[in-house]
Amino acid sequence: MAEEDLPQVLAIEKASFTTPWGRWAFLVELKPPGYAFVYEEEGRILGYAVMRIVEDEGHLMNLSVAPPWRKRGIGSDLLRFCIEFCLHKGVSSLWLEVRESNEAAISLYQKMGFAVKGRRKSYYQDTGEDALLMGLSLPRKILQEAKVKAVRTMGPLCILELSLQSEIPFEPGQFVMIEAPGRPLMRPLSIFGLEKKMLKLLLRPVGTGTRALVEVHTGQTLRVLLPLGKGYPMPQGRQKAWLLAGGMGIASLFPLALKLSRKGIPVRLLWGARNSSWFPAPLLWQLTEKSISLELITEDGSMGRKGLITEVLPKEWENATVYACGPKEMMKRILSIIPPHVKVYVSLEERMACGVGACQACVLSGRGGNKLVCRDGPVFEREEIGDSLS
Amino acid sequence: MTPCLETHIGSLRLKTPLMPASGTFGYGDEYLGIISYEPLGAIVTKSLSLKPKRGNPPPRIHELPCGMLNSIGLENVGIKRFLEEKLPRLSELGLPVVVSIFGESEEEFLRVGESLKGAPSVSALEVNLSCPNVRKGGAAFGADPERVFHIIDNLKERVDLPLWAKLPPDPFHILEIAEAAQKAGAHALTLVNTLPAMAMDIQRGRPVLGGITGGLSGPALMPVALKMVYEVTRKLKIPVVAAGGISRWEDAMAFLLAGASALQIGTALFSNPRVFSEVHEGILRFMRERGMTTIEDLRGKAHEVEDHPL
Ligand SMILES: Cc1cc2nc3c(=O)[nH]c(=O)nc-3n(C[C@H](O)[C@H](O)[C@H](O)COP(=O)(O)OP(=O)(O)OC[C@H]3O[C@@H](n4cnc5c(N)ncnc54)[C@H](O)[C@@H]3O)c2cc1C
Ligand SMILES: Cc1cc2nc3c(=O)[nH]c(=O)nc-3n(C[C@H](O)[C@H](O)[C@H](O)COP(=O)(O)O)c2cc1C
Ligand code: FES
Repeated sequence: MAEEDLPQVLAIEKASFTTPWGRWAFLVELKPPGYAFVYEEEGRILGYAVMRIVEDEGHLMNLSVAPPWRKRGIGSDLLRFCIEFCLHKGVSSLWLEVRESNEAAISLYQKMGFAVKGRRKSYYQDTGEDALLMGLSLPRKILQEAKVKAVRTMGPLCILELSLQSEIPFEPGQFVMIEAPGRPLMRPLSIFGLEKKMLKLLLRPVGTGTRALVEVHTGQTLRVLLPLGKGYPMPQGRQKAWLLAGGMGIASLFPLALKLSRKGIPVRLLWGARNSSWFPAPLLWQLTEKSISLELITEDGSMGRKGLITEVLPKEWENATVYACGPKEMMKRILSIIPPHVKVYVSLEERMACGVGACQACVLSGRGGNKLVCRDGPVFEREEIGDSLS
Repeated sequence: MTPCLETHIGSLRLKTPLMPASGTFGYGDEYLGIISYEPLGAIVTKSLSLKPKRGNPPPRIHELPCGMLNSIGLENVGIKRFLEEKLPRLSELGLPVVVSIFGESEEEFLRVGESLKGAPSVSALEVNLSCPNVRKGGAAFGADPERVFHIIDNLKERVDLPLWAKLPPDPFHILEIAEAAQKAGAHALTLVNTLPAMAMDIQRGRPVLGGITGGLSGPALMPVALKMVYEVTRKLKIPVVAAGGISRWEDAMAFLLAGASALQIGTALFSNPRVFSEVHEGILRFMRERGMTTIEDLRGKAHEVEDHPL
């Protein structure tokens, strides 16, 4: 909407509302945080929408269609446009007030996914009528160009630090799909850390894509899609948390350990790997919080206890919720060892192409039917997996 | 003036020639909020069969230097759940919906097609005669001109929706098969599906894919698809929707020059979900620079070059 559109807009406004907005009300919304759009056909304005975006919340302030043009889907087109616009601005929820008696509008909003979230008493001054507060939460998967800030090699592991364009909340256990330079598919990697626009990934160069990723240089931009999948749920009641990390499995359990410890939940973290080179000192330091008890296990005995993580599991599982991430064999063993009444969450890996549930590549197939690791996981409760790993 | 990208597939008008390739865009709403749907002219669904299908065991994909293999095996929710749960959401996108249908028998194709009769906002059916990842039906049908004729002919009689026949990348027999589809009354051809292929896990001494063999897609497939589109549109009147390795606007342009009326993008979406916007902008920029105003200024222009006499 531009200033020269106002005469036409004001005419529609007057014909639509008992207490129409005046010229100034519109003028204010023509610049951020206001955003105003018109629906135009052959140079004629048939409708418009006005909204404000503050941080990650959108507020639809006004939406109207000229009376002769109603019931043609122009309202839904405008609304759809606003929703898309919000998505691109990284908005996570869109809100609006509507007169309780305006059934046509309410049904349009409901059709577009809005739900009634509350009521504002006597909101409209002309009639004293209540307003319904309706809200729509928008999916938060975001595609961004992330800038490489640092590539820190630590023995066989590497931490990739990238700066994002905006702050994004995440849950430990969620992952990203990240461009692997020169490769046809993105790579799934757990979110190792994500704070104030700084995304950290912990990876091990094992193949073409991960090797390309540890060879990126600072300043380079990489496409990332995040946060994907479901994270680890918090333990119920007064449970302690047992974290079982096999090798790279630490990547998703590390942020979980920190989150649990910040909540004051006691954490016992068993981390098993081939040898001591897998335990870089900077990572160990960060795990020395008082509510985290860390036990290291190596196959060659070069650090901590010698053996496999599955050989040193405790016998006592009372009041424990278990979180496990590691190679498939380890997960299978763990599920067979831990008594069935104990709640166990495992994070699984499968090859992925889209990461968002669109291609059906990442199937976890069991007697109960198929699940997608990228959408229904990667964190699953033991009951959901059933016989799928065997 | 902004060039107009509107294109027509028979009587169906699309505001742009771009759409996702079946099977790479789920049931249409998976990418909502991640990418803009503005550059799309239509949505194409995953192929649907009569009953839900479990598909093949993992691994279902394998990356190659210049593309990928997949052996999804047509896992889908089945036509009933699609109509109940997926289509209503799809209809709200405000884009024409092309439903891809699949059958293990001619009968199944008909029954899936019939259940879509009168379904709201379905603009066309893409008849998947070319999936390399299923034992029955699939590419075996698309390789046989008589079968193709039969399936399209029967569907046409019973289902009042435009039919697009999606064919396998068989450059040697494509004309014959395409002609059969045209004769049966298909409104368009989608060229091409993936090429049957496989990969070997030499460490374990067995094929990589859980489905043993799979289908090749991505840039490796593009030159083959391009030649097929060129050849078919030169010889036949039927509109062609091109698919196969499109990942940049230059690729899209190549298919338009070769004679395609619309373009599908699949594999490229996985490495660059913004590919639709980039291709859209690229085509517009190119047309603007050369003073072109409609897609027709481009479509099939390469046909004007004389064939080299052998
Ligand atoms: C949800 C999830 C989270 C992950 N988190 C991490 C992490 O934080 N750190 C880390 O180092 N690794 C992680 N992995 C494993 C990581 O994705 C693979 O190591 C990586 O994809 C291998 O790619 P490549 O190109 O090096 O190997 P290549 O063998 O060249 O890859 C070929 C293809 O197979 C796929 N592939 C190969 N191995 C795996 C695997 N184990 N899982 C999934 N796809 C695979 C690749 O993505 C690629 O498409 C995670 C996997 C998943 C599914
Ligand atoms: C993961 C995946 C799943 C596919 N599923 C289908 C499908 O269900 N039906 C179909 O007709 N084609 C399917 N295809 C083929 C694509 O629609 C397309 O024809 C082919 O991949 C070539 O285009 P591209 O190189 O742009 O991907 C699939 C392709 C891929 C990569
Ligand atoms: S990776 Fe595409 S569905 Fe999971």
